[in-house]
Amino acid sequence: MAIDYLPLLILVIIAIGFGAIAVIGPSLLGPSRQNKQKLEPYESGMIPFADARRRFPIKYYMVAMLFLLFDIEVLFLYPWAVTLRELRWQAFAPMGFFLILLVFGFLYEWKKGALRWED
Amino acid sequence: MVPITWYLILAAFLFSCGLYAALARRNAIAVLIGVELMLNAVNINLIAFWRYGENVENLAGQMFSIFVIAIAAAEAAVGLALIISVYRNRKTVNLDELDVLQG
Amino acid sequence: MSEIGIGSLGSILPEIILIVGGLLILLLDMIQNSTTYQRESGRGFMAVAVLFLVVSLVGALLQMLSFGSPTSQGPHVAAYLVDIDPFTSFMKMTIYIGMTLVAIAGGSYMNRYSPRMGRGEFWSLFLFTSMAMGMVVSANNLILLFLSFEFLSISSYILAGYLRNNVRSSEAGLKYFLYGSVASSVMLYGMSLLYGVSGSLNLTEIAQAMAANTDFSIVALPAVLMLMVGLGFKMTLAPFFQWAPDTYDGAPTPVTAYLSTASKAAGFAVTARLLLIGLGAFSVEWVPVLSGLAILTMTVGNLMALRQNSVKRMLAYSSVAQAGYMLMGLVSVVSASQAELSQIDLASLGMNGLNGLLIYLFAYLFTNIGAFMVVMAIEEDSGSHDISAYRGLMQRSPGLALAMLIFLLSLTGIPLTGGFMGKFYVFGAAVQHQYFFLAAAGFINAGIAAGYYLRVVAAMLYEPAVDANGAEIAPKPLNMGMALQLTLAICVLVTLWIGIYPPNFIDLANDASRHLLALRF
Repeated sequence: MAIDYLPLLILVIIAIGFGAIAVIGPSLLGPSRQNKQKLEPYESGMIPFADARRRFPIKYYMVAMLFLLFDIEVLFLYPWAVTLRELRWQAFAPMGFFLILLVFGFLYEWKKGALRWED
Repeated sequence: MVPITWYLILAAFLFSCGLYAALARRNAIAVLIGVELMLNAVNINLIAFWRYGENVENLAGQMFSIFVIAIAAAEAAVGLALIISVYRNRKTVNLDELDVLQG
Repeated sequence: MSEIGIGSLGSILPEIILIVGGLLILLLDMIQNSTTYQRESGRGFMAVAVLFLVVSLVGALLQMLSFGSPTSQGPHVAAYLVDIDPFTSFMKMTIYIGMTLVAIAGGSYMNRYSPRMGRGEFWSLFLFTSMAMGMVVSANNLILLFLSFEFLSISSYILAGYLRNNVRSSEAGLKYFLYGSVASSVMLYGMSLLYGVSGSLNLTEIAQAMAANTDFSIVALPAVLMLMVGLGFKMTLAPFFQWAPDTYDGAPTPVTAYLSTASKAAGFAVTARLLLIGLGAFSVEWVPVLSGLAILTMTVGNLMALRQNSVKRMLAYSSVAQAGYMLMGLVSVVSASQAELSQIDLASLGMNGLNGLLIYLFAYLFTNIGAFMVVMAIEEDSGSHDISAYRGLMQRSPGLALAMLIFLLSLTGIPLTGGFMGKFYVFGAAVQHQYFFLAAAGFINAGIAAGYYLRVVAAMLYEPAVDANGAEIAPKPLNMGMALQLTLAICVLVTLWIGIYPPNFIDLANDASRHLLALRF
């Protein structure tokens, strides 16, 4: 029933309201005296040394891409693990084949130097 | 329970956002993000149809969405690789500037 | 749901062979050390790839023979996910022949221009792409259909952008990817709607659910429209074809050759299966959509082709236009006048539209692969696709010029060529089913198309050879490899063979088409 979600709705309203008050309140009540230190981005007390929106070397994308691929393939292991007890070899053998393929792909990218950081 | 219509509206909204991003943005990465949104909208659709379907025991819809997630990852990886190779050649990923092939 | 057993693996044997071949090439590529990498010519990989393609082609032919004599209604092997019937076998045969021809003729080109250390990868991707096409034409379940469709698309994106240091190739790959990924997402949304109303992912079950409940027909039209975005992208139909000229132009020529033939044939096979089996009950919804797309596609393709000076780009637009003619075959499956034609009547018709589509696809495969291989030969000689590079070809290399002449005549649809047989059957079916406006649009377009095809013919036969500055030069002969000559000879022979109305082949196409129509719900 939709009524069961009422507490959740109230929570969401309170959360948004609190956030709004915390943001709007000080700007209305407090004085606004800005200087250079105050306007700098907060870096845990460190002095910022570069713009945050700088470009990353392309090899980060490379590693991210490879990570993404192998990360997602693990998705197939969840339904497999749930039904393994029931299906036994019928599920074990295909998944074994699938994992061999994955390992094969991993060895290939390793051998081809895609994982090498310095080139 | 929340009626299925809500999920379908959410999915349609998400899909439209993705389609808009894919068609209107001139940056190749933004198009890629739009495509991912569209695929995830379809996942919401599939799961909703599965959960509200007559035969919840048959996990076809859930399985489909798992395959869609995997395909989305593969597509993103290949797309990023192609974007990188274009960037290396042209130093831009703006689609309006990709004009070697036209006519 | 049937049990998953080792026995059902036999139905996808050709695809398993291709996967093994692709993995073997990756393995061979992997075990080399850095010094042999540098000297790797790619010839060994090519030999392995061709060998495995031929073996899987033989496997597909054996599957076809197991259905019995061509005229009988063969048995219908349906595992849960794939459907092995004469239609599937015909498409697999077409696709594997095409991929084998491209591998033989275009192999040395790819080996020469591929990035260093990337030669093995090309060949394994090539085998995987072939596998995906074989899979997509046999899938009768939406999961497998989408999975193999995306497999085909994703590996084709890579192959189109394979020459990664080449500006044109990488741009072609990216454009293909951007259009393709959006189109397939839209198609997927359509699939989710079909799943939602029918509660099943199996095409036959979807058809049953759709027929049982007529309320579902409101979903049929949006679902068909969304499916046609993805499928139309693969078939290069008019509103979704913008990628095609750019990708065909920029991609390596062997890749273009298979994208415009085998990949397109796979797209048509999927469309036929999805619409006829899955949505057969809603032909009233999809016939107008498809006939509109057909007319738009052929007109736009031909008009754009008229103003091209690059022969490769001209062939790309012509390939779009040809897709329009092929789509006519699919529309003509359903009769315009008598909506309720019974299955028996439809199957017994000599021209049921679908057999026209199959004959057209088969003839077009050889013709277009041959034409692109000529483009490749000229490109390797002069480095240009411009029509001026074709001038004086008759004096320079009469064999090549005559081969190109036959391919262009076949694309135009002159009698005694394969292209004529395809058009004859497709237009015949359109007239027989009283789609007169469609047939008329087709005839007018075929006339327009003759204009740009004959321009190339005129340049080859009657104009003297010129250099880059336009000054006349003495004709010098062209070097061609043995493999290229062999492939061109095969393409010419098959194009002419289909042109003389071979009864055995026509029977094969009839049988395949009748089988799919008999399955129609």
